[in-house]
Amino acid sequence: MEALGIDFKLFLAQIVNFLIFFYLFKKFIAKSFLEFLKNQEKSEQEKEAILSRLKIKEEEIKVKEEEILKKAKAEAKKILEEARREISEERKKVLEKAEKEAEDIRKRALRQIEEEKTQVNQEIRSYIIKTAESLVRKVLSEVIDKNYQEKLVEEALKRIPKNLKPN
Amino acid sequence: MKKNNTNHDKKLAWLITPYPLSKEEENLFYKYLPWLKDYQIINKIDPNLVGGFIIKIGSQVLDLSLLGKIKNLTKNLL
Repeated sequence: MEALGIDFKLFLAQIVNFLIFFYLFKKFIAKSFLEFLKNQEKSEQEKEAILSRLKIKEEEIKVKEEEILKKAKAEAKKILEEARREISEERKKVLEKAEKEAEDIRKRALRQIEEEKTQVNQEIRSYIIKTAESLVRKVLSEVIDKNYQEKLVEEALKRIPKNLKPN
Repeated sequence: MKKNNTNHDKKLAWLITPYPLSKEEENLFYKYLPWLKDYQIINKIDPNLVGGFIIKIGSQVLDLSLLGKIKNLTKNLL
């Protein structure tokens, strides 16, 4: 071994050192170190489990959010449609009312025009008749002289029924 | 047809003519309307009366004038 350059004593001392180190390591360090590693591993696993649960929760929340959003959208759409329908109905009612009022006004106006027309016609008729009467009276008073008046009185007497008497 | 004392108890009858009646015309009235003898006749002159005469006894009116006919016609037309 010396020819190979190895110092046997040194080699033996190193083996002894190693054995002492191994013994001490196993006795005092290995257990706590392995425990530490196990704890680390356990801790990592717990972290992963927590992360996994959090991920699942996050996905659930996301799904719930989407559902809520969907519901909210549907509700908003429904409210909007209801509002539109109500506005449409209200507008229809207002239009119908306005049309009815316009029709009433038109009918009243037509009736008033008709009444005024009738009144004017009546006034014209009355005026014509009265004017004609005045003309006839004037013409008769100018045409009929005393002799003709006498004849008319006589004729009127002749036309009286014999049995005519005051009550 | 003038008023006289014997007519005081008789009812009044107004005879409206466009001119004063002559005696002959008065007689014609008594001829065609003999019941006029039961009334005290007062002849009222209305120059506006055209063609004929009117007799008024109380509220009753017997209109036999052209004017009356024209008025009736006007009334019916109105």
